[in-house]
Amino acid sequence: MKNLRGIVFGIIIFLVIIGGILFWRANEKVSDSSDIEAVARYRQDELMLFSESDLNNLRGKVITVTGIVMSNEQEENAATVTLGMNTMELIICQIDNRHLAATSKLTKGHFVTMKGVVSGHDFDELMGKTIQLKNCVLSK
Amino acid sequence: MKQLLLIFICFSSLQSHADKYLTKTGKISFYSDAPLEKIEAHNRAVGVLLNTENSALNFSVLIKSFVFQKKLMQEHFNENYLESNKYPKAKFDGTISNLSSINFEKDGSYKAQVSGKLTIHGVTRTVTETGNIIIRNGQPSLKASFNISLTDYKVKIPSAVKNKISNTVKIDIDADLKKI
Repeated sequence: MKNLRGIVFGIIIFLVIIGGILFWRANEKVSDSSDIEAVARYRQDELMLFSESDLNNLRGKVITVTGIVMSNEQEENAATVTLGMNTMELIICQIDNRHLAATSKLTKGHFVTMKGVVSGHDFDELMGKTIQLKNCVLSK
Repeated sequence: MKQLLLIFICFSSLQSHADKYLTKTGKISFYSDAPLEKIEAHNRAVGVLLNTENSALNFSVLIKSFVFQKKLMQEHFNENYLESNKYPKAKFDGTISNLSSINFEKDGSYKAQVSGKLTIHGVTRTVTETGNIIIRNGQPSLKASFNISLTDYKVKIPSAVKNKISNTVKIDIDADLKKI
């Protein structure tokens, strides 16, 4: 009887632990780039010269990019900062909404280093080149 | 000489109505309300090009640039549903059929009839939607809201959650264009 009670108790504890892990996993927020070491550091102009296969290798990795701010679009609970010298060749950084305050005062011409996850690149014959980063933060 | 001047004026007039407007930071959001959970993601790095010379409207969207709040949801979206490694980009190539009724020099809100080919998850379908073009100080903003069906684009939902995830996704588009 005691054994049976122990087994039932063990199963309940096991299920609670599994449930807790699943609940935590389902509600886990996306990683904060500020807590992750960048795998590489680039200047905006040198990153723009990368081939498509080199950029594919960077996809999903956290990098830093240093360059000149072309625009800073601030909204409620969101912001997008672009780096570059012309609209046909831009680095686009979607700012992590946990770090909006740090980028709120950036204006065109500021020289900054952004850190974020490379989400991909778009070399479009009509719209030009973009390299896109998300979960971006202003690098210290 | 007068004829030459007249031709020049006519040509200049045509040129002034043949402009290109571009943004690289257009916004697309999608929402799916279902019993299991609400799914919401935003992409603020959407390329949008409007060419008033031929009424062409193009969108270019990197799937991996959609931002989610929850990590697992983002992983499922990219790996299981949209397969973004295989199909990294969604795009729209179309035209605005009533562009002549939109006065880009006069502030206001204009209905735009848009039709063209929408490619998502490697599947291209012809779509027709109505959106709004809002002109403010000579700069157009595009706004549209419509629904898409996941089955139309062969986005497979695992059978275990099929009844708990909506097959219809609401798409919102908001893009402030600038003349180039």
